[in-house]
Amino acid sequence: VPRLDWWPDDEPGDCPDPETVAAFIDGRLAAGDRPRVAGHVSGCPRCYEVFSGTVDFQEAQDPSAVAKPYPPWLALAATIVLVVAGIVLFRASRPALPEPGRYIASLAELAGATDAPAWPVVAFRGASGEPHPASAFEVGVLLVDAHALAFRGDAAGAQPRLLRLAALLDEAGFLGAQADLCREASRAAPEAIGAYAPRMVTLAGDLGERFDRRELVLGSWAEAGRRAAVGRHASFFDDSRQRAILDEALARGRLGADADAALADVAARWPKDGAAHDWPRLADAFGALLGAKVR
Amino acid sequence: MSEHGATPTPEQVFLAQLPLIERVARHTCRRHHLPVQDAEEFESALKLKLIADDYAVIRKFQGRSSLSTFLTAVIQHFFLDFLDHLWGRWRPSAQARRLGPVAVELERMLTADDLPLGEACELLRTNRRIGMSTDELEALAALLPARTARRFASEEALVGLASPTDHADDLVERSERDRLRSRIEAALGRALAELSGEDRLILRMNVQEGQTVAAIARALGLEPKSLYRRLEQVRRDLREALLRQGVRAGDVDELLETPTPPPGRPILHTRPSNGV
Repeated sequence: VPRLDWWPDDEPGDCPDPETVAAFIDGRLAAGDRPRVAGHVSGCPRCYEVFSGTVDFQEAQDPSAVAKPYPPWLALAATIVLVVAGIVLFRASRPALPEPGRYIASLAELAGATDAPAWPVVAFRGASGEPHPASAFEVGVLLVDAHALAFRGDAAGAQPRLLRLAALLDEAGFLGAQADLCREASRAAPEAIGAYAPRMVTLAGDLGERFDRRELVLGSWAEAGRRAAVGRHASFFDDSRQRAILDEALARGRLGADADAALADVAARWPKDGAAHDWPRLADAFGALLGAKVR
Repeated sequence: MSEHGATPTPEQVFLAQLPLIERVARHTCRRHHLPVQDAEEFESALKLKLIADDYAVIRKFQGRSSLSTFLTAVIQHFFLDFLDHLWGRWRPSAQARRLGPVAVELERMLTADDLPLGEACELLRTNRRIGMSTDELEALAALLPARTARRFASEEALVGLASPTDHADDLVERSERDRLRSRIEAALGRALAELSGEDRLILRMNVQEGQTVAAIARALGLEPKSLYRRLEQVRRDLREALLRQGVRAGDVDELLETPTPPPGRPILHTRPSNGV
């Protein structure tokens, strides 16, 4: 009796290109394309080898590194929970924003803040070929902004940030899908914008792979720090990972005269034991860093 | 403004990704039990391929997936091309891969080179200095799927070719077995066609590769608990579809068994002799 150790391959032809198979593995295919690609991969010996070899490598590196797109029902449930939780938090307490320490930690981890290699900035050139004045730092700032505003259902507030983000990603080259996601989010109605908050975190992880991670992390950290100072979230400053980002940036230096000074100011005003006496000036120090880096 | 103001060239992207590229190449060669010499040749050929035509592969990347997954998938493609160059269309069976490099080498000799078992064992012991006895190698061969290499010969040569067996009973038994195999293969093909593409993929990962439910769930972004139930359902559906087509219950159960044989137990594996 033949065992199912073999497979009746049907050599269907019209194989998807490697990037489509990769997008399938990353869970980034459009919902309508997924069944077609799954069906092809299951029957085509060559595509199955590409698929299983890629998954096998990712598993061997780190099982948790394999993309984990959520099934539609879970995404819907999570969206409902997030939106409801956001509304409850917003109404029940001031400040209204979600705990910045939570999302900046996610962003920093996803963007690989802990062992950032020397990584070139992805193509930031306009159509003329001249370097674009934007940077990964600004992308980081916008990601946190867009995340926070989407989280609390502020579609009108999120819209300009998302459009700016889309424009930056367009300039970066080969980030069209990510830019489209931002444009799609910018058109979301207030009741639907909350669903894009977790996608901003995923986007940060994705971009962290292609941008100068240090700049991206520093940008998201600076904006989250400003929000934490404004909201007097002491836990953000108690988190050793946030302090580590500051220390790394201080040690690296050379951010530019204004930015270096602003960073030193942030360090000087960094709350000790969660007790900052002058939250507004700490927020100003972060603001100065943002102003110095984002032009 | 970033301190790294310059746009990375495809070359810079290649250099930045070189550690990943090398890791993927080595892992893939190990996975297929490629000898060290061949693995080194593959790694060199891969790098040349990636820098060819001004890094055309990297320039083609559109950002529809992560860069690392894209490069890993591209390397798998190149690896299959490399195997074509190395082995022709022959591929080790999943079972041989599970059993290790000696099994892969033995299977290649038996199917691609079409050597008799005794000669293959002798070659492994003498030329390749495999520290296994002939009995152990024969036991290993018994665990491999029974596959036949596709051979082309002139009619004159075929006329002069002696029958591989002189026993009529053996011929009848083999003919019966082949008929059963063809019938079950056809039924299996039809039964699989009734499943959704994703269900077929889940089933293939589980029964052919022996992937755990947790690993499949991670790879396809599914929730493990519901995947476990789904896999059970898929197996039930497939079983019913095969039974409806007249396949005996005992044969169906054996067909859907988990593909990890106990050591030393010879299992008859058959596979379509399509040379793949």
